[in-house]
Amino acid sequence: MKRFGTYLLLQGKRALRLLPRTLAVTLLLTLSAALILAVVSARRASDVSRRKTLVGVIAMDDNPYIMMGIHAMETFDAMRDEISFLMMEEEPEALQKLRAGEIAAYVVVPEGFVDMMYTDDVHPLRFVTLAGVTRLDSLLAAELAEAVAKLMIETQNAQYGAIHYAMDHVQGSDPYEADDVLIDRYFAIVFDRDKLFRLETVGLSGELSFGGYYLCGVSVAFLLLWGIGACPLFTRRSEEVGTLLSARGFGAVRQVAGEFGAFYFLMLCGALCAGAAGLFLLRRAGTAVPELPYVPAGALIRALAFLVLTLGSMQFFLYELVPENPGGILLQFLNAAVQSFAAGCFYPSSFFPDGLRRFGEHLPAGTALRYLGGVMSWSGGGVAGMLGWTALFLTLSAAVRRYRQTGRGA
Amino acid sequence: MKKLARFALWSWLLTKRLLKKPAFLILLLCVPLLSGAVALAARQESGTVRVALVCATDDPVARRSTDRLLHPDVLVRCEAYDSEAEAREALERGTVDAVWIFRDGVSEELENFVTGQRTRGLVLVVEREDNVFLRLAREQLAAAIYPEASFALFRDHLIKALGAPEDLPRETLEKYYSVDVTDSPIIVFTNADGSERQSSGDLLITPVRGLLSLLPVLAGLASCLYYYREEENGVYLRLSAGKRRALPLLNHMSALLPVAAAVLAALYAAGIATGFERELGLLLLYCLAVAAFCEVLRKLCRDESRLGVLIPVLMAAMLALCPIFAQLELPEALRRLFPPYYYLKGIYAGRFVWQLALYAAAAAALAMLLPERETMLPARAKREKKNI
Repeated sequence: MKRFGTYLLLQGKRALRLLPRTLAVTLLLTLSAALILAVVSARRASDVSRRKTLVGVIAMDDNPYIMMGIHAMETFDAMRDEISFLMMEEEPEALQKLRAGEIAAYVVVPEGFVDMMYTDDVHPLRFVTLAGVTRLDSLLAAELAEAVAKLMIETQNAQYGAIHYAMDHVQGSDPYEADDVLIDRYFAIVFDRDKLFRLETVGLSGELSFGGYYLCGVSVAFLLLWGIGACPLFTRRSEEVGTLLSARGFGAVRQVAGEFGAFYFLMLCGALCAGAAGLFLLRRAGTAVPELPYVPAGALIRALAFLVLTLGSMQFFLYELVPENPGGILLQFLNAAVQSFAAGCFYPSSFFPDGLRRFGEHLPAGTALRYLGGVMSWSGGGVAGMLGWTALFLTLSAAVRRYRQTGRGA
Repeated sequence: MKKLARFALWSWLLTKRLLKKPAFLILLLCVPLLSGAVALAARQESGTVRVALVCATDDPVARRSTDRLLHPDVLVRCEAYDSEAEAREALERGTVDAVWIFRDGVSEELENFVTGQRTRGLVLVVEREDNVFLRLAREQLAAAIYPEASFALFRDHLIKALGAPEDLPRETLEKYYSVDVTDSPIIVFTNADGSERQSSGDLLITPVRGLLSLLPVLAGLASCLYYYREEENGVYLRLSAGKRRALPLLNHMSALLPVAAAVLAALYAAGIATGFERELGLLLLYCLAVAAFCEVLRKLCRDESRLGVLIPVLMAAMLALCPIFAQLELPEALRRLFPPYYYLKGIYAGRFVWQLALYAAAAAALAMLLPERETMLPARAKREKKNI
């Protein structure tokens, strides 16, 4: 036990050498984040339209229904704060703006779009984005464009039907006479469409809000990346010393326990500083996370301690597996990127196909995300899964260490 | 010629020592496999908003509307539930994001809606919170009911404006209203080069290129850490000072090129490559820029642990500032500090390729101008003393 205490102390001293820099970088990161937040807030305050995604619209037809559709699209309540439609004259101009990143996408309404719907010669709307780039906001705009296109077709359906009926049944009258009245009534139902349903918001209970989910996702992704910073602690490790200690009876299990203790201390200090700074910034910025004011600081600290324990043990195991550069760092990044993605840190896991969602939920990052979500929403947040992963990673680390040392000794 | 041969030999030797590491090779192989797996997973059926749909009535308007909603959609995925209680329970559990309930009297409410009378709504929408996805989902709901509203308005118009009898059979109305609209899609998704694309799943593949673009940066930074160590071990002491000036860049390139090859393969595996020559040329230029960027950082940090702790910060900054996930409204000058910005923009706009070349040249010049830290033989001895 005494030898273990000494080993832990020595490893702690190694980690302490890295600690001031870790804390300095945390401070730097916090300052940068504060600066970015300040700049973003100032820009938003000065120019509201800048925060919107711009989607170009090129209408090659002056059909009144097309114009109605475009107007409806511009006033859609769902996207008023997120997307703005920009009328454009020519496609080359739109293409140029798209390539320069000035617009997220553009929609081309071809000539005779509505009329051609009644024939086999369909000229569909074209929704153009850059290859391999589908942003969520442009996808939402595409959905809206499709909904509006259906709306335009139905409306023109009714107009043609009324004209034909007047021709067949209303003798001696101008079939187009009542047309304006009909169009006005259609405009009215398009703009009153929110009356089609009654909205009941039941509030959040035991589940996270959208903002809360993203806060959890970003936190887990950040912790996954944070492990890369500890690489000098592992790549500078002397394996000969480990083998020597092992030969003198201080085995792989105790070595791993001592080294992980020091690594955990380093990671926890950095994470606590970053967490405190992040919380302070979120509160200052007037956060859009409704759960945050109701979660006690103690619960957040405890959650952070468990998160660092699980994710730290995983990172420790990966360093044990590939303790050299550049492989070690690449492995940490690949692991962080894949786990963050599959667990739903970047996009909510509900976006994913069922198979990928189930896979992501059972990964360590997925377990961590669910745990943090549980803490934030007061719905529990059991630690059993987290502790299970920790035990597995530490056991595997000890096994890898033992294999390496006995292999070398043989 | 002799110099070129020596340069090639050095490049090969520097690359070979990395390729001899099995872990590094396995990781490189994993890159295309992982991006291929993401592309494969993204092609499966998925949706952004999950909705529990309850049709607690035999009303034909409700039946037709729910039929329209139950087909697979890119963003809204509806699932039929038998009862309101069951759907509300799913909402509370978080299994679904919203509940849409068609209750009795849908046709009457529709009549009230189109005639401009007071209505309590055709559908009861229950949500836990209001967010952009749920607002969009409601637009989809409105679009599904709209054909019914349009038809009801058409009927009302014929009766009131054109004097049609009130008991006009539906079949007669449909004869005039229902023109045979083709089943072809009314919207197609195309790329800027005119090629067609599948809309669903693209969203999940979008960040793949961005994430892949960070791999060379990471490899470059890892190479810097490796170089610090070799420098301390005196590996390059026998080289003349002149030769040692360009050596770090060559060293970083030797780590970057295998990673770039893996990235190129990964782009093809994910199905997002835009053409071999274009991708290869841009990647090579990107590697030069990254090597110079990493060398500047190496000289500024001057120490392994300092650069090591900075790596996650750099990664987080690049994730936030470069066009990988979302475009935050941040000053352009901040974004332009990082090479992935030019690379990711350069895929689609030629002017960013030129800017990437300029960036590489400027960063390389800066790297050459910055003073080299002292060679650390004494430091090695100190470290060994400290090592337990």
